[in-house]
Amino acid sequence: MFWVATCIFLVCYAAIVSEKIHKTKVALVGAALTLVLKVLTQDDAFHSVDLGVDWNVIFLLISMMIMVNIMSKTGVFQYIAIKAAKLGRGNPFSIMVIFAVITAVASAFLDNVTTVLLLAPVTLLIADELEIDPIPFLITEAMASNIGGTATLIGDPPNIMIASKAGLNFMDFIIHLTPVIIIIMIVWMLFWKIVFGKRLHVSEENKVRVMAMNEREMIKDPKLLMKSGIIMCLTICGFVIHGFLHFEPATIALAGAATLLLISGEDPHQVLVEVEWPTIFFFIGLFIIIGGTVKAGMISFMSQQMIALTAPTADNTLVLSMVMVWFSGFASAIVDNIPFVATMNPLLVEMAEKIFGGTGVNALQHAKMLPVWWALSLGACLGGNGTAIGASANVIIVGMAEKAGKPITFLRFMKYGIPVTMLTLAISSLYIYVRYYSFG
Amino acid sequence: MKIIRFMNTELTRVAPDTDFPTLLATHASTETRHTYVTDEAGKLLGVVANLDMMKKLVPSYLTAGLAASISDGAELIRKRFEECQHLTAADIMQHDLLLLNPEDTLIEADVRLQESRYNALPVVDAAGILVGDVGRKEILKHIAVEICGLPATV
Repeated sequence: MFWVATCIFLVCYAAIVSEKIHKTKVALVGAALTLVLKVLTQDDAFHSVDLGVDWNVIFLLISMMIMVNIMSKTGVFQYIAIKAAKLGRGNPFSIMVIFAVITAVASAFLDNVTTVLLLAPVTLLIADELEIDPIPFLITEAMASNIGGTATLIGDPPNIMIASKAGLNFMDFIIHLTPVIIIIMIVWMLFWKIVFGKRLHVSEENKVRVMAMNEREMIKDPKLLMKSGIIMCLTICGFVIHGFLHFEPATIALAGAATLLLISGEDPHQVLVEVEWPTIFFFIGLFIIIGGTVKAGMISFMSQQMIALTAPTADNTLVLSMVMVWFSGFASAIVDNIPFVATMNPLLVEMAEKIFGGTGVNALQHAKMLPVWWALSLGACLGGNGTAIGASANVIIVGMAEKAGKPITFLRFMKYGIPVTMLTLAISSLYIYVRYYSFG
Repeated sequence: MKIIRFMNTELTRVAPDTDFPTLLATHASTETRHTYVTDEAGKLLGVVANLDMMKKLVPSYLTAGLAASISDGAELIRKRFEECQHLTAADIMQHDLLLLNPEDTLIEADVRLQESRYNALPVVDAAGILVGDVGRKEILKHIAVEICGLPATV
């Protein structure tokens, strides 16, 4: 079974990376083969916590998509964006910074694709009004969404997967990742000031056009805004205390989504049709394929190799953490970070159990294991900034720019993406070293 | 009932190298819904609808809310018009066309129009030569007068 599971895994991974066949089709065919060839039983796939589909991840994703779908209809994000552009007095660099911050904060709580889909049209309009090139603004927003999404448990799918696997809660992410993301945002914006500060100039007449924009027109349904705002706040409060309440994050999200669906008056057919089902089924397929590799012993074999390479001990996991930041970063710039993290998660579980002995929380949340999880999250999420295909938000931005007649070439994206990725991974490495190995 | 009996034959035709300003002026000055792009022999190459022209002149990213948030969009449209100057009818036209044959029946044309997103469909002969078009209006008029026996004018 070892070679059957390994073959399914490798062929599916190659097919996903090649992008010749839609990744959801690949994942579902791989999952079907895993079951048909009896690498996993159906009971393993659907009911086993260690080998099967992680329903916590699936329901957290679906619930957040439902909430975001309803909330995006209110126009509140566009309202905030126009208001912010006016606060920046039409100054292009100020607008770039403000939009980056808004995108990062929004992406920490919403999915990255939705955030850029909502903000990119406003950005294109403001760039048109200011008569400046929108591309640096759009790329900045895609990168800000990837950076901001790293800050919380619900900000990016890799974090949801890591949290579920390692049993980490919302506040763990706030305490350990949010500080480094704030540092990264500050350093990145200072770097951007050097790059763009003197290059972006607009006439006073064009600034006046931005100042004349009426943001109130963006609020389409104030009642829905009120309802969804309250439910979103309550849900975030629920995430903050879910550890104390002994609820999984998916329970909090499902309660929020169900309540909002009930009180919003929205047609459930319309709301549910907008859930990204291909992404959901991609996750389901992937979990089954990876479960097969765990059961067949492939992940165990890989973990032995990784231990031999990084030589972690119960007292020192520094090399492993550093390898995790940079390897995850480079891998995620090239391949989708979701299958990458789906593979790394069971690998790290195996490693933790071998290094620290025992199973479960004792091994997975050992003081020397936690920085490894944070390293995986930072590498996988921030690495996506490297190329135009490194993250879904990048792909969306490139598509929207092309549709608007402002195509972003692969090389132009890399010209911005590679320096930012190197900078953010370097800051992440330094942060992990200083916080967990120097003082920790 | 064959559509050859009631199809519209007064069509606006342009050559594929017609420039954007001429194309816009043609759309603005005629009552027809579509401009048909044909070669010298009259063979249909593509169709430019009013909507295709509007899409070129208004930024694709605009939503109704965003459009309402700006005080005057005239400058945006003028800028788009300047950017489109180099385009020709061949650049803008739709190539993937749903075609009718003069021997198709009224009900066939009716269903095809309902299934498509178009207001009218071109009618071409076996050689691909454009001979007319059939729109929703022609079909309704024919149904009202010829099939239901209602007066042509009220």
